Amino acid sequence: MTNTYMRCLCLCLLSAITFGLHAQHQRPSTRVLLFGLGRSSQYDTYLSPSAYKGPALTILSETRRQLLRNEHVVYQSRIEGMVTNTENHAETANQMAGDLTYASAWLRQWSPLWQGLTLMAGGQLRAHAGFLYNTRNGNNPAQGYADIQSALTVIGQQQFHIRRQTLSVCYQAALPVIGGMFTPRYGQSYYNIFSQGHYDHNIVCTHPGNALSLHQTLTFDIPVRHATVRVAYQSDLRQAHVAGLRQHHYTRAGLIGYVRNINLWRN
Amino acid sequence: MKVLLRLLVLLPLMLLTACVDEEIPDNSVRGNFEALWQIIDQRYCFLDYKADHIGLDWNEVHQRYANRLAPSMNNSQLFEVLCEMLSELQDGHVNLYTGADVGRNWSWYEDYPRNLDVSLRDEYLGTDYKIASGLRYRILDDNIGYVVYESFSSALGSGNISDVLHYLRTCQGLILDVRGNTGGNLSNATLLTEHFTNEKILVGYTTYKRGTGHSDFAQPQAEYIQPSKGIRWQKPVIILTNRECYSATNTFVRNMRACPGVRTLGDQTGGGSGMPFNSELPNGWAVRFSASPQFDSQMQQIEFGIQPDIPCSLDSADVARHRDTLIELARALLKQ
Repeated sequence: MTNTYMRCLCLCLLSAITFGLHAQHQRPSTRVLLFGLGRSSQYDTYLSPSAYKGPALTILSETRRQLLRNEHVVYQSRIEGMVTNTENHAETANQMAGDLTYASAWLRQWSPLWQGLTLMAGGQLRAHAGFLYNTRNGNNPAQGYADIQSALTVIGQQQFHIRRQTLSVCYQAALPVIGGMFTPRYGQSYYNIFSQGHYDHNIVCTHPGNALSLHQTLTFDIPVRHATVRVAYQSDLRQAHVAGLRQHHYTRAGLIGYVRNINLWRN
Repeated sequence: MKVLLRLLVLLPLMLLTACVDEEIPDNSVRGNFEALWQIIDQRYCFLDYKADHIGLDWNEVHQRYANRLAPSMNNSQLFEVLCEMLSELQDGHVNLYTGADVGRNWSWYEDYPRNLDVSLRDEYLGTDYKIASGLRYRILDDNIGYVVYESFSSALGSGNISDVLHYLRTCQGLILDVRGNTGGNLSNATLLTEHFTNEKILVGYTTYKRGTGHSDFAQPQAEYIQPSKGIRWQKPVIILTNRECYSATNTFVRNMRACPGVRTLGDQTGGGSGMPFNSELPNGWAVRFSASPQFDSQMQQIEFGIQPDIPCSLDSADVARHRDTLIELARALLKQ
């Protein structure tokens, strides 16, 4: 009896492995890792009525692959991180910020559309967490951010040739359309929320009417021998006007990194 | 496909027209004045209360102080005008910070007798007193426990308090001296109170501003103290207070008055029941203001202090005899 179970289990495992290898064969994926440097503007009236500006370090990891069942559908996942140290206009105070975003997108692909042009459009799920810390404030020293958004995203990719080299330019934009975010109320302290446990609609619904945001990336892929180098410009514009508080987090950065095309099962 | 292309063009345009950006006046004499006035007008939590209680009219204040402005004013002159304007609020939690000075109104204790002689208090503690984090304590000759807590900013743990109460367990009563304690961490005030009740007690209410209007407050929320899991004091307690008991200490006194067997002795506390928030002016000066008011268990304001159960002042004749009037009266009451 036990042997029968073991045989069944082995059969299942072998089937799964075979299916997985087949899937890899059918699903070449592109992996990208980029590091960037840019400028950030951090504004949150919970901490200060002034916008703080300063340099930002960013990292972006992206995976893109075609789905097994439908070659017209592309799956993309992105992990973006950012840290910044900003200063007010008068250079009398600092704010430190950090955030992490995970985004998963499913896109319908039209390729080739016209002379090397590929277009993709679809939906994206974005989960974001971060903080903003004002080094000078007392009972309102920091603001925490946590939000989940569903977004519309579009990608336009154009391939062209220069001296027998294939280069590629790609633009992606994502516009959050609906989601939810955590926020304290106008004058509510974190002590009131977490130490005293007073919940006051601290999770709010967000949409372009109260949190119009836009995430854009422009990339340029350059083949260098057997590798591909990616140069990118990223504009991450997050805004919200909720619970009587106004905030924006604008980060614009130039990035550079490499692209890896992975295909485990050769044709 | 055309729809997609249109969307691509429209996205940046949408963002350009809907920027959430700064709404602060320019960095000029007038701009900084307006910014400060507006911060208080929209975020300060006692404007209505002080209009009733001390006749404060914040719009009239704007008019009166705006007349004193001149575009050629230097920073020092502007600082003086702004500090005087803030003094109208009579609030120790309201400050203006520059690189060179701190604007303040400390009339809540400066205008009153101190009722505390620190060197005399040190004589009661002697040199062999014990220290548990921020608490200094000893057993007095007549078997009364005496604990001094000078700042709620001093770290405090439940274990520290239990250790102190265990050491003092044979005492007839306890004197908790918080004179000169101008506040600190509210959670320390809560933590200490937890060791003086056997059941969950209502100590007061708190609220905060939900909008820019003077009366835009959230529904007041009850504040309860849960009994500590450590050692809980079961004998009489007298808390010594003076006008310097401010902010978190004011809240501590409010909390302790709800505990069984606790009396307060000395002078009225200084007040300061608004949890302060920070903001800033266009020129980078920082401003602190009361943002979240606390009330007692009867929903009464405690911004201007809490009256003691047993009023008592420090007698200079007693001081000359190396006797602290408040401590001596507390000892006598605890021995009854």
